[in-house]
Amino acid sequence: MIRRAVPALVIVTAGVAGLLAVGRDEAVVSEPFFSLPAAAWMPSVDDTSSLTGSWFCPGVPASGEDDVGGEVVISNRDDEQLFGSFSILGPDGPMAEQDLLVDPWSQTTIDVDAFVTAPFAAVVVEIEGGTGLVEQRALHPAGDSVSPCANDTSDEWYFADGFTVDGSLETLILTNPYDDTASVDLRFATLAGESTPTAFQGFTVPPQSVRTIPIAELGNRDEPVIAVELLASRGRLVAGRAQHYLGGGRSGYGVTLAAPALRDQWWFADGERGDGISETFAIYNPTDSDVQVDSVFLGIPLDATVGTLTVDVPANGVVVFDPAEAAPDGAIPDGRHATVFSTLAAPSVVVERILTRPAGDSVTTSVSLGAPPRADGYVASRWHVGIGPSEPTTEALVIYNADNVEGMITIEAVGPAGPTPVASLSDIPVPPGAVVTIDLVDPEVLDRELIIQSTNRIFAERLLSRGVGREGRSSSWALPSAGS
Amino acid sequence: MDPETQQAPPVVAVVVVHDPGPWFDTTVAALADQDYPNVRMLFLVADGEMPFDDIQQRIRAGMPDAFVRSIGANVGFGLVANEVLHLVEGDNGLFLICHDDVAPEPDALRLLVEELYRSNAGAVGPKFVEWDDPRVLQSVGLSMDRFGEIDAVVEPGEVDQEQHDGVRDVFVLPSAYFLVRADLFRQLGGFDPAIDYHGEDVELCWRLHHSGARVIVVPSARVRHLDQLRERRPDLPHGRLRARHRMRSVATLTGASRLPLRSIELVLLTLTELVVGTFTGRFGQAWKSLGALLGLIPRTPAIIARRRFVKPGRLVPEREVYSLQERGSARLNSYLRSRETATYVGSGTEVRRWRPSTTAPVFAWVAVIAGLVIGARSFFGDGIPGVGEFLRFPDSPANLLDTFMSGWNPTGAGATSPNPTGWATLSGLSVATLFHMGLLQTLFVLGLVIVGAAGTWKLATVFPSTRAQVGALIVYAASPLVSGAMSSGRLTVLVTYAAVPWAVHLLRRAAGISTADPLLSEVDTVDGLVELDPVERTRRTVLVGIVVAVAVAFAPVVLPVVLLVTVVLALATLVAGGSWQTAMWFAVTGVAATAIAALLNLPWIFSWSWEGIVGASPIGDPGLALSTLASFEIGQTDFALLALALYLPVMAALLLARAWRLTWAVRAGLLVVSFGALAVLGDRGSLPVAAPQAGVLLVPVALGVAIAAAASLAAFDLDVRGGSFGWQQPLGILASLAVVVGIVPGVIALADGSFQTPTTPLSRLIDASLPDADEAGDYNVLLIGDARVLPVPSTEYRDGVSWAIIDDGPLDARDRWMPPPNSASVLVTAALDEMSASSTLRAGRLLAPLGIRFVVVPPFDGVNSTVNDPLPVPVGLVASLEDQLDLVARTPRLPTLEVFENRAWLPTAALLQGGAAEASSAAGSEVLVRTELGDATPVFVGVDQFGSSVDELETGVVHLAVPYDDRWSLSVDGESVPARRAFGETTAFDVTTPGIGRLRYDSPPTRLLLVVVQVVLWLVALVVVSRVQVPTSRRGPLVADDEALIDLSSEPILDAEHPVTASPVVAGAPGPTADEPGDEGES
Repeated sequence: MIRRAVPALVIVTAGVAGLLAVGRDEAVVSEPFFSLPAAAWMPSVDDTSSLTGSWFCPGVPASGEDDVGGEVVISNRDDEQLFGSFSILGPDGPMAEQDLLVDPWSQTTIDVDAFVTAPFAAVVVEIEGGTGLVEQRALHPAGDSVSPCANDTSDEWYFADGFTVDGSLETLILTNPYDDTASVDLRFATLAGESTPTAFQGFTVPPQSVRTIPIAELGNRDEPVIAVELLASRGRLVAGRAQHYLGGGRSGYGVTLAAPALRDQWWFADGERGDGISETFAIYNPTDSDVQVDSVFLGIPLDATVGTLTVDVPANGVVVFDPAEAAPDGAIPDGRHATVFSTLAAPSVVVERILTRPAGDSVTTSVSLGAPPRADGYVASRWHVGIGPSEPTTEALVIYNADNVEGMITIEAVGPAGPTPVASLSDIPVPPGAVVTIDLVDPEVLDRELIIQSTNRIFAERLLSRGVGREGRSSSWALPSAGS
Repeated sequence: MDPETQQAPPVVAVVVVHDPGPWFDTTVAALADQDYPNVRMLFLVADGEMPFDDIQQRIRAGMPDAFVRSIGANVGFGLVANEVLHLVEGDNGLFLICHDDVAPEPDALRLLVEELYRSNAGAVGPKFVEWDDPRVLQSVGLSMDRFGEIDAVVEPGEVDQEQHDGVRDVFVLPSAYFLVRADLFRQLGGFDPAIDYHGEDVELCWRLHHSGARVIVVPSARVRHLDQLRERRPDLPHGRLRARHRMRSVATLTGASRLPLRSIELVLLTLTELVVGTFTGRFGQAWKSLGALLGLIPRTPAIIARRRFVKPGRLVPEREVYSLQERGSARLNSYLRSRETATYVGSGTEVRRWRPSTTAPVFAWVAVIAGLVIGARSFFGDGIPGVGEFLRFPDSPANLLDTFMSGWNPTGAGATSPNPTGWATLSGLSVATLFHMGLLQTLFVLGLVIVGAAGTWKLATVFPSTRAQVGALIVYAASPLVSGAMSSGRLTVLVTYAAVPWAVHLLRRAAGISTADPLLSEVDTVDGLVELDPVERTRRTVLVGIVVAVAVAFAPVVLPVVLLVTVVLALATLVAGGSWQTAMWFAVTGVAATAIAALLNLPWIFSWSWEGIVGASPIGDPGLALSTLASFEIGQTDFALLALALYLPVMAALLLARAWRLTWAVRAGLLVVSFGALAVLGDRGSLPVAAPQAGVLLVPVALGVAIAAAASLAAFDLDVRGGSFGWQQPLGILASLAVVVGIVPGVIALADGSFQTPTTPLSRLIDASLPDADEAGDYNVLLIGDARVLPVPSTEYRDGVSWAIIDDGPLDARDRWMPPPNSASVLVTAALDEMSASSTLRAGRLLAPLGIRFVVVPPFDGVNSTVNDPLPVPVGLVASLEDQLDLVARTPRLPTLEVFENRAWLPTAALLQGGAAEASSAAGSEVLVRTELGDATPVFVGVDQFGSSVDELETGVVHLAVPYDDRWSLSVDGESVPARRAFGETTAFDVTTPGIGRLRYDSPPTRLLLVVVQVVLWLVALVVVSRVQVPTSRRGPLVADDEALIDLSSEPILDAEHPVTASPVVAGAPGPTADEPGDEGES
């Protein structure tokens, strides 16, 4: 080696050593990101401005029969006019399309059965700027039912509860708002096991139309629980369910939205134990693995000894969990409570609450899907009520304080001047981890959009009248704010 | 005049002088010392840098009585020498034609005259020996084959042992010093005036034979000859001139009856030369022969005229002249006899030495080409698969040229923009395949490998060792880069692969680095340096620029790569202990060459962006492992890790080599380390700017490895072998073995026959998945995904997500160039923003103004992302697209392609009416999402930028899905409709009255001007490198006095003291002819 080579040898050796030091041993694959998967939460109100907001209502009856119908309420949460359009979809496709305009801080109602006549019709509302919220009210002689409309479509939907005992009617309402046919595979689970009827494999929903599936007509008669899984092999859709209870301990009518995803936590702000009150939960596990689901009753006195109740849910199975049977006698005290169901397994279950309360001489059954925290763990402290009571209603809101510190709640009514705190409903204290009910009897809150503003994270359900002159309440979630 | 002088035949010595060097005084003295009594000296001085008076003074100092005349511009040796015909009257004597770099022995002229008379010859010439070493023969007469090729008879470096000392007939006498009868020379018209340098002696001697005169060499007459025309006139294209004049002589002097067959033979021989030249590194000679052969075609009239001129001189049957010519091809015979010389740089001088020739290069090249043919065998039948950048070439080269000429760049969403130089280049190259674009593509892609290997071969000629050259060739050709680039369709990598070795080779020549003299291997010569005059250095620099420019026309990334290579070579020269001047020349010529390359790609470079040059980045970093990078595994290559063995010679060369081998080992080592570091850091995303794809950065690494292999092999030959045993011998052997191991992956890659390219390329899948444009109107397609998967250059939206727009036609090579920047990105970015933020479910409407009918997400391309080894599709992308209300998934959904149809699309040319027409006046996404666009009517279906498109229009808004451009014009019933912006970004025309519409695109008037400027720039560059000179000097007459200086007509013919019995007789002159027996002179 000659001297001239020394500098180069040093450089090359150092370079090679440096490369060995910084070089990787294995290839690294980074996952590019485009956007968060949509429709992984419950219907919510986006506080940020968006280009457009699309709302997909699960469907209302529009058969033209007396006292049967439906309406969609669009609330403008802004101080400017809200422009948009809506389409009413029926079995044969779009049945009406129209532009809409909502004045600032006001609401517009679409009377669906005034436009169409069909067993069920679904409304798709598109609003510019996204500053609005949309809810539907199904009108039925057995009781009115309020439900938020979905913010998005999905290619999977789940129902944990289903009920056809004593001729009760259950109808799945599948809405395809797209220009292309959707194809769905349905799977059912009852206490007897699961089934995948051939007729419902590749079940098509034509473009921009609504198809309904009466569960009882499939042979699932007198079933105390029928869970349903809908997986779209092509396209995306919106799934709703209309239940008309005619016996078996249930009574009433309700239209609800299905769960667009499996989750590992489901929360219920409302729940009650007492004379004549039946509270059960349908837990559906459509996965191929058995899971254990823990239920915890919240908002009850500290000396209550109910503890954690564990429910085994078999793979592809559904169970009906009755706390009264599972918990020791008296462990769950009478009165209101909140409930959370959770599993340590991957998101794998859907939980619905079936709450039957006395209503005059009869009972009223209300079925509600639990509320999951958002995928990032977010729980809202502000909730919106688009459709509120039109007459003074006691215990109209049931709120669970999810934080272990006391919070304050203020109810704002949205009027011509915008959201205004209701004096009688301001600074309502909520103890840590407690359930409170709020009466909406102040005239300022009637027929208004309401905003539940809390200092803590809360879950908020509303219990609205089932219609003028009817006893009992219909339960539904308020719409959480998606945050800014 | 003394009696002796009066009795000897008069001789006029004609010496052509041009810028003589120091040797000239020796020449003058030697000529003055001639013992021949009756010689008069005539010096014809051509203009040069040296003043005439100085030259005249030097001549007068040795020969006071000599005639010295300034002849004006140097128009070539033959033409100047012909002036003797004007300056000398009478034919009773002899002309001695001389160069100005000869030194005859005192008796040389006398011996020639004696032999001329003794043999009754027409011309006689001496034995030439080397100037510096008179023991070494230079020539003793020359043989020639029927193709005009000279056979030197003596070997280079052959020592004179009187082995050629017999007087004999030869076919050619070198013009450096020969005696010819004055009457004969005059009758033949002297030298061919069309031949300035190289070949004038061949042509004259050939005609002498036609005239029946004998041409004889007289070895007893010895002349030293410097023979440095190449060094004295570096501006001349010596090889080309030699080939051109050889072809001219064959064309003008071959008999008419033999000319057709000779022509065919010439063509076949030239083609054979091309093949043999390719294998033997003498391709340049063969190429010049081909050029000269083709050059005969436009010179046909001149050749016919010349044939008429020489026809009267054909006095002997053609067969007799033919019998004097050598059989077969002198050049091929030369090669078969393994006779080869090479020019080496010694200590300050250039020497030409005998180089031992072996068949190793032939075998190496056969192996390389055969390997490529075997490895790509399926391509020959099926064509190059449309993998990656291997998009098919457009069917019509004329259309491609038209597209280049147009001011409209149709790629992407389209824009008025300069078009890539590569389009014109491809169109021009199609001539070579008779416009068969498929064949052109196959040859182009495979040819890039050959070109790269040839460049490495040429670069390796700095090592005067066949083993080293072969080593470099094989290592570079067998690099896994080749198989990887082939398997993944990385044309950019292949273009870089082809260009970088040539750039380095030409850069080192421009820096003055030549092949060092192997006899000086013991001396620590850093580089074999030659002094270059500014003109030659400029020429070589421009040549680098042209090579880089051609590469840049196809892969702009070559420009920064060559610039970086230049910097590394300059620094490496300093590190290696080289002179700062060499380093400076590397840097200066490299920077100048890249500037020239950029200039030659004007105005296209104005549309470049860094992203366009290096391509959109994948998410974060490409994520390759160090071992993958180091083994050049950029595609499917089995056992690529074995290529790591090639790094052993990099270190071994540094430890073993000396002299210039070490210098090149250092340059190789720094190339490897610096570009290796860039590749690794770029792969990690640690560079301040986006890095080119790893394959591009690995090309200089591969070249460095190849040079290092050559250096280690050369070092083993020159520095290790034969030395005392030590650690060097085992290391040298290990390095040699490492080279063998390292090329194994490249060899194994040949087995597949198609370099493991996927059978269904993504481009074909996309073409098959989309409908042809029909009455529904023309449309565009938006591709979204990982930039590595997209089949065309893309624009980065965010990390790992890129997009590109293509039209409704099949993908072709035009699509592989980065589209021009335009405002389409505003619309696309807005749509993607809204989609990714879940801010709308009407993204289709946002994309509609760009005519986007389909949105395609390719999860796999079969190369970078396969079913077995997929790249992740951007999270939420497909779900977001599925979510959109106006995008519908195409069915059946393919597992390898997600295709969504935009139900809100607008045809690329559409008539909007109603709300859509009204909305087009406004801008912004808010307007688009609220507007129902799907009812637009397609118009001007099939419109392009080449001509007018006519359609019947109703009132409304004619909307063009192109970024706003007022070069598009619409007239309705002859009335011009002004263009306006639509939706804030696109182009529209408000049609207020129905009628016949005419839509056309008008290229900017500057476009043609810019094309002309670009063509002129290329021509200038080509002229500079071709050494073509405007022959202004020929236009005027030579300035020598017309008045005769010497009169031979009254000179005596015979001298009693000289045994000349008869005057030699020429054809046409009185007396016996040369054919007649007994006409030879007696002594």
